[in-house]
Amino acid sequence: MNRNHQNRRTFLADVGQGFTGLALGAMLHQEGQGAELHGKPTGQPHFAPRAKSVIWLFMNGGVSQMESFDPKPMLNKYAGKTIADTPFADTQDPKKLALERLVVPDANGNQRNTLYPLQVGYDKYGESGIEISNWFPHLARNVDKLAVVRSMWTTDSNHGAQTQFHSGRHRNDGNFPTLGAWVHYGLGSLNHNLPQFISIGNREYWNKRDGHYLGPAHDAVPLRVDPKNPLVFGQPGRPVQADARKIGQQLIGQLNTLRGVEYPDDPAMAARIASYELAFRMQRSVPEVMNFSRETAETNRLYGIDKAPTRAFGQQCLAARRLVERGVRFVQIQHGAGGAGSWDAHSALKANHSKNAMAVDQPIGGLLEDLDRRGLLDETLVIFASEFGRTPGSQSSNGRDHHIFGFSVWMAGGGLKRGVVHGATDEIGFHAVENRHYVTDVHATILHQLGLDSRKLEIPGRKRLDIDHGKPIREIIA
Amino acid sequence: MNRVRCFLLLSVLLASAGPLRAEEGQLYLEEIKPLLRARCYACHGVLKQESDMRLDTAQQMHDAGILKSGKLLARVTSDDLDHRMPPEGEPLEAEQIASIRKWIATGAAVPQDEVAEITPQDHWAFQRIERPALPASDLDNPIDALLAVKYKQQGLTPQPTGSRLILLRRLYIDLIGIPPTTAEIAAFENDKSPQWYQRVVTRLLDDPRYGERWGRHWMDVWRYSDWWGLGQQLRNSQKHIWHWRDWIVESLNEDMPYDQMVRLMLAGDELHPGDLDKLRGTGYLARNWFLFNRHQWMEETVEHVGKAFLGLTFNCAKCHDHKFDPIAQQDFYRMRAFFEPYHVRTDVLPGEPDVIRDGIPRAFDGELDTPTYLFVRGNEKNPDKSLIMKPGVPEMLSFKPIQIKPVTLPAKAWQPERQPWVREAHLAAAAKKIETSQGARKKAEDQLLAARKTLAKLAKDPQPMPVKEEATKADQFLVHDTFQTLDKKRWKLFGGEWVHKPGHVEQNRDGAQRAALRLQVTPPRDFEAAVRFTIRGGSKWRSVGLGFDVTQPDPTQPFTAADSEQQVYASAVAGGSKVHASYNKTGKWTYPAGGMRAVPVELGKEYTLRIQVRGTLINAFLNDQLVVAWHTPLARRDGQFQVTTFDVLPIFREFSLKALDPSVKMTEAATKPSQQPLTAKTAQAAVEKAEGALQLAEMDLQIAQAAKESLQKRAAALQATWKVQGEDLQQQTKETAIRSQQQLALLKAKRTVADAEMRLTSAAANKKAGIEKEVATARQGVEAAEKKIAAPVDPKETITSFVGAKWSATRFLESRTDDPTIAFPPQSTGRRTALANWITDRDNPLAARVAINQIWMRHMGRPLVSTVFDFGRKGSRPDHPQLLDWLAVELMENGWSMKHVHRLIVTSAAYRMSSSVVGAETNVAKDPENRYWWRREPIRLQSQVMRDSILSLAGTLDLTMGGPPVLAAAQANSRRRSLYFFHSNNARNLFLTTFDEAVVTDCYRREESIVPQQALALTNSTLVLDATKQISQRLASEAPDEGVFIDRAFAVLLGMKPGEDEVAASSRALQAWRQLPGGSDEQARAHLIWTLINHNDFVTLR
Repeated sequence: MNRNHQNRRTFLADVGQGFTGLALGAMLHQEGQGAELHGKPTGQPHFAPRAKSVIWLFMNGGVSQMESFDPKPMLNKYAGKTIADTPFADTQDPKKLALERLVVPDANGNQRNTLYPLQVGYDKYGESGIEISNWFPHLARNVDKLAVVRSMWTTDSNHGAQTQFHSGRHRNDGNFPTLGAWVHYGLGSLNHNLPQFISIGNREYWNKRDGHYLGPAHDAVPLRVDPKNPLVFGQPGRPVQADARKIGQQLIGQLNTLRGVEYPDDPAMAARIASYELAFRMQRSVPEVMNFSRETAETNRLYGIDKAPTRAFGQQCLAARRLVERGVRFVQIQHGAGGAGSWDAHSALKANHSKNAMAVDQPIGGLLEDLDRRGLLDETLVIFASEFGRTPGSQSSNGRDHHIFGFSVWMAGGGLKRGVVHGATDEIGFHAVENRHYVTDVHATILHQLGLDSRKLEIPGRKRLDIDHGKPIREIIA
Repeated sequence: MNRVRCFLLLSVLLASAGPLRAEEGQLYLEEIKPLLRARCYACHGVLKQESDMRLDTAQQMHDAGILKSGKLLARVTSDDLDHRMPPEGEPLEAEQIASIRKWIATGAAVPQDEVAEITPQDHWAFQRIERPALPASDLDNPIDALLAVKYKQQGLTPQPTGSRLILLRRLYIDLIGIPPTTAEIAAFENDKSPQWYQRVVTRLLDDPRYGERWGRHWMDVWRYSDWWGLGQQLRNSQKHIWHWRDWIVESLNEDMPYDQMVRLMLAGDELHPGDLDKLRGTGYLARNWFLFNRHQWMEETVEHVGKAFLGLTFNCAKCHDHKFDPIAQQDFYRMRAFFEPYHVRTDVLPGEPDVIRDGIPRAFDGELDTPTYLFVRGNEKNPDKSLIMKPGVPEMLSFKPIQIKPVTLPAKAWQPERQPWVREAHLAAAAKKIETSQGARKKAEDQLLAARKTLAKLAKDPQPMPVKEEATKADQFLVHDTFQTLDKKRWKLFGGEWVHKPGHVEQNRDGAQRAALRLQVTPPRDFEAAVRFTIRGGSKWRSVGLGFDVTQPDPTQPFTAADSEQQVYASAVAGGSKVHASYNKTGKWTYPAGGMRAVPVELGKEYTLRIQVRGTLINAFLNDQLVVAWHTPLARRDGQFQVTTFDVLPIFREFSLKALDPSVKMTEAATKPSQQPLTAKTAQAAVEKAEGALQLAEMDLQIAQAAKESLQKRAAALQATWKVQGEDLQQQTKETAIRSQQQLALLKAKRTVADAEMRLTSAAANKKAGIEKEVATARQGVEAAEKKIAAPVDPKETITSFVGAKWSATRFLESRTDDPTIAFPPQSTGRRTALANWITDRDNPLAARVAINQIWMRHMGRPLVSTVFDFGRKGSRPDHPQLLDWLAVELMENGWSMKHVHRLIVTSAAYRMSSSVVGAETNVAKDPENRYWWRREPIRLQSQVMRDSILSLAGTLDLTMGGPPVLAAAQANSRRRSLYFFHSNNARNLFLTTFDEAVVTDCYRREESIVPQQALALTNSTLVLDATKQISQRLASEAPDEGVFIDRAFAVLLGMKPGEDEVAASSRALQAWRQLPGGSDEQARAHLIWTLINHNDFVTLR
C-alpha cells in the first residue's frame, strides 16, 4: 500500500464525517488527481439522470395562487361573503387547519374569512389550455412547457417558510441544509472554473445559509450581475499590479510544492493548491459570465433587458442561462427585497402583484424560450415557487394574508412533462385537496431528475425524517 | 439484563450454533444484520424486548421461532399498517425483503461467534471513571507512557520532536491564538536552558491572551451568540450577553475549575445570588432565551446541556425512547423539568440604570410551579397531562439520588432594587437628566433670542409679500386650461388610464408607473406654471409633478443615457408627504435633500402646486406658501413640459403656464428654506413657538429636579422599609416619598397641558377638535393631581420602587403579545443546582471525559472520541480509552484545573512530535490514519486565529480586552481581536465566515473546509493587502539584508526555516518584482509577504 493512497484515506476519513471541503474533493476527483479520493458521495448520480442543472426561481413574500396559476371563479361569485356563509364553510374545520405551526405570532398569518374577488382575469393558453392569470402573458405563451402543481402545502405561516421551502424543515426544528446544498454535496461540479452553487438576488434574514451541517463549503456562492465586481473578494481591495500578481501566484505554487519535500502527498496541501487554481480561474471566468456584451439585441429584448421594469430580473435570468450553459449545477435566484419579500401583498395586492409580475414575467418567459431553443431546457430544471400562497379572504380591504394550506408552484424542463397541471385546491383555493404535496416533494422531484437518492446522502448522526426526503411527483415526470 | 444472564444466553447461543456456509453467512452479516440493527434492534434488542423478542443474533431469532415459521417475513411484508414492521418509517425495500427471504430459505445459519448486543450498563462511557494504572515506563509524561504501550503493540515508532521554530509557533497559536514575533522567536531560540520549553509554556499560560484563545473554543461549545431578531426586535439570545463572554475569558485566565464553571453557568443564580460577577456565568442559560416558543427554548436547553456537558443526545428522546441509549422519552422531559422554572432577566449594573444600554443578562427561577408534561410523540400540542414530570436523570446514570433543595434567596436577589448601586445609578442618572435639561433650556433661550432678533429686523424692513397672481388676465397666460374639454391638440396622453370629465381630467391606473399629460406647447426658458389637483389615492408614492426640459419622446419608457428631465412634484406618500425638486441626468433620477420640503399633502384635499423657474433657480409654492427655493445642479436645456403622475390616482382641475415676469422677485435658494421666517407674520409665529419651547424646557428642568428629589425620598423610604425601622419613621418617610411622587406627577401633568395648548395654537383647523379634547383631559389630570396633594395621603398608596432588573418578556404562542410580567420569587427551586452537582459529581461517568475530549481535540487536532457530542452507544469508541480516562481523572483530582491539563498535554512528547511523515514509511503502512498518535496532526487555523495573526504580525492588533462587541459597521476598521466581533446567527463577519466561523446554533467541532473563496479572501481582502505592507516594513526595519528578510519572513509567517530551493525561488521572485515598472525593494518585499500569507503553511499549524 503506498503512502499516497494512505494519506488520501486519512483525508477521506474526515470527509466521511463532513468535516472537510467536500466540494473540493469532488473537484480533485474531476481533475484526475484523486480517482480514489472519494469516499461518499462519489459526485456521480445514483441512477441515470434526466437533468444536469437547476434554476430555482424563488419569489420572496408569497405569490397569490389565485392571481397566478390557480383560478378560482367562486371568489368572484361569493366576494364579500364570509366563508362560513358560503358552501365552503367546511374549509374552516379546525382539524383541517391544524397543520399550521406558529413561529412568530403577529398580525399576519391569520385566517381571513371575507372572500376577496380575483384581482385579475384569466385565460386558457396554449395547446394544453392551462389557465393562467393575465398578469403573466409571457409565461402564458410558454405554458405548454410548464408542469403546474396546484396542490402544495407547508406549515410555517410566517416568512420563515422561505427557509422551510428551501430546506424542507420548519424553522422551529433548527437549521437544515437547503436543496441546493444537497445537490452540491451529492453531485459537485460540472465545470471547474465556476462555483457550482450560486445565489443571485435578495437573500434576507430567513435564508442566508445553505450548508448548515453539510458545512459551509456547501453554502451558495453569492454572485452579483455586475461584471466589474460580481463576486465577494473577487477583486483586490487595493490596487495591485497584474504582473506582480502573476509572479506571486507562481511563487505560491512553487513554495507549496517545495513544502511537499517534508510533507509529501499531504491531501490538504493538494486541495489548497487546487483551490488556489480554481480561485484564480474564477476571477476570470465569473466576470466573463456576467459580461453580456456578446449577447444579441434580440436576446436582450427577449429577457426584457431593454426595459426598466424587467431589466434587473431579466439580467439575472440571462445570467442563470449563461451559468447553466457553462455547467453550473444549481442557480438560485430570489426575487424581491425586504425582510418579508416584495410579493408580501397584505394590502394593495393588485398594485403589488401586477408590478411584481411585470418585473418577472417576461424575463422568465424569455429564459424558458431561450433555454428551449438552445436545447438546454431538456437538461435544465426550472422551478418557480414562493414560500406560500395567499388567503382567499381579504386583508386590509385590498390585500391577502399568508396562506399555507394550498398554493401553486410550477416546474419546467429537465425531463418533466410539458403542459400539464397536477393537483388541485378546493373551489376557493383554500386547501390543497387533490394530490397534496409538501415542499419536500418538489425537492424529491428535482433530486430524482438529477439522478440522486436523498437517502444515500445521509450524514452519520444527522437523522432525516421521512418527510424530509419527500416523494417525487411521478405524475409530472415524462 | 444483568451480565450473568447475558453470559448464559451467549453460552446457549454458542452451543446451538450450526455450521455456517460462507455465502449465506456473508449475506446475513453484511446485509441483513445491519438492516436489522438499523430498523429493529431499538425495540427488539438489548434496550427493549418488545413482545419478548430480540433480533440481535440469529440464534435468538431461531429460538423465537420467527424465521422458519415465516412470521418475520409476514410482519415485514404486511400491508396492514397496524401489523407491519417496522412500525415507523418506510417499509423495508423489496430487495431487502428478498435478502431476508433468501437467507431464511437457505437455512438461516447462525454465525459461530455471534455476540448479542452488550447491555448499556456495559457501555464504556457509562462506567465510572477510574484511574488506569500507568505502565512501567521511563517516560516522564504519563500521556507518552500510555501511548508507548500502543506504539509497542502496533510496532510503531513515534516521530522525532519538531523544530524549535515549529514548536514555538505551535505553542503560541495553540495557547494564545497569535504567532510569536521575531523578537520572541529570537529570545527562545537563544535560550540554551533545557527548561526553555517549560518557560514558554508557563509564560503563555499566564498570558491573558490565553483566556481569549481558549474562551473562543468554549464559546463554540457553549453556543455563544450575540442577540439576533428581526430588525431591531430582540428574538434570540440577549443584549449585553458579552458579559458572559468576558466571564468566560476571565474565569479561564484565573484557572477557575471546570466543574465550578459548569455549576456557575447552570446555577450561578442559586449558588451566588448576590454576586453580579458570578451571575454573568448564567449567560449560558440567558443565551438560550427565545421570544416566541418556550418549548423550543426548553428543548434546545436540554439538547445542548446534554451534548456540551454529557456527550448525550437527549434530543433523540423528545418524540420517542432513544433508539440507542438508555434514555426513555420520559427522561427527556425529566431533564426539561430541571429548567422549566427558569427565565431570564437583566440586572442593573453600577453606573447604568437603563438595562437597554447595559446590564447583566442572567437566569433566575421565575415560574416555580409550572408543571412539565411529556408531549405525546413530541408534539407540543399534545401534552400528557395525566402525569407531571419531575426533574430527574436517566435511571442508568443515577449513581446517587438527585438532591433538590429549594434555595431561599437573599432579599437583594429577588428585590434587586435593594442593591446600593441601583439607587446610586438611578440618582446619578437623575442628576445627569437635570444637567441635560439645563442645557436644553439654555438652547431654547438662545433660540428665542434669535427669533426675536429676526422679528425685530423684519418689522423694521418689511419683506415684499410673496408674489400674488397679479397677472390674472387670461391673455398673459400661454396656457390656461380648466379642462372643460380635453384638447388633444394641447395635450398628448401617455401611460395610465386617463379619463376626462367636463371640468377635470383624472388618471385611474394604480401602481408604481409613470403617466403624463404632455403639453404640446413649448414653454419659455423662464416660466411660471401651476396645477390644481386632488389626490384620491395610490399605492404608495402618490406623486403629482410638473416636469420641464423633458427630452424623452415617451415618458413611460425607460430613460436612456441621453435623456434628462427636471421636475417638481408633490407626494402624498404616507408618513413623508412633501414637495420635492428633483432631476434626471443621463437616465438616473436624483432627489437632493436641499430640494425637499416636508409638508402635509393629504388625500382628498385640493392643492395648487405652482413653480417659478428662472435659470437654475426654482421656487415652488404649495397653496401659495413658498416651500422650496433651490438651484438645480442640472444645466437647463430645451425640452418639453408635462404634468406627471407616479403611483397615484389624481384629479386635475386647472393648469396654467406663462412666461415669468422679469420683475418678479424670487427667493434665493437657502440651505434650509423651511427655517427662515420670511415675513413679520411668520417671524412672529417663530417667536411664539420659541417661547413655547422655552416654557416646556423650563418645565422639563423642574420635572428633572423634582424627579431627583422624589428619587431621594423614595430611596430613603424604601431603605427604611428594608431595614424595618420604627413604624413611625417608616410612615413618615413613606408619606414624604409619596408626596414627592405626587408633586412630580403634578408637574408632569402641567407639562402635558402646556404641550397640548401649544400644539392647539399651531394646529390645522381640522385637527383642532382633537387637540382640544387632549387639552381638556390634560387639565383634568392636573386637577386630579392637585386634589391628591391637597388631601391626606391615602394609606393604600404605595411607593414606586426602582427598577433593579428587567425580566426578558416571553411571548407564548397564541397570545401574540408579551406575557404579563412575572415577579421575581424569593425562592429558587434548587433544581439546576442539583443538576449541576450531578453533572460535576466525581461519580458522573461523562462530564470529565467529554471535557477532556474537547481539550485534547483542540490541542492535538483530532479528538479521542470522534463523535464529540455523542458518547452514547451510537457514538464512536475511543481508540485510547485508558488515555482518556487517565486524563479525566487527572482533571478531576487536580481540582478540575484546565491549566493543569493544558500543561500536561503540551509538554508531552506526543504534542511536540513532528507532523511530517518523512522517514516513517513503516508507520504509514501500519497506521495510515495516525490512530495511535505516532505523529502530530496538522491543524487548519481557526478563522479568528487567521485574522488575529495577520493583524498581530502587522503590529496593528489592538489588545484591549472585553467590553461590548464590535458592531458589523465598525469591523472593517477595527483591530480588536476577532472574538470581540459581533457574532450572531444573522450577523457575522464576512472574512471570518469564509474560514468556517462557528455556527452559533451548534458547533461542537469546527468545520475545516478548503474552498476557493478562502483563496480569494487571502489574496484580495483589504485586511491582507494592508497587512502585507506593514508586516514587510516591520521585518525590513529589523532585517535590511534580503537573505535575513527571507529567513525571518518564513519564520514568523510559516514557522519554518526556508530550504535552499525556497530561498532561491523567493530571491528570484524578489528580483522579478523589483524589475517591474515602478518596482522597488519595499514593494517586492511586500509581495513576498503576500505570497507567504497565501502559503498553505500559513493557514496550517504544522
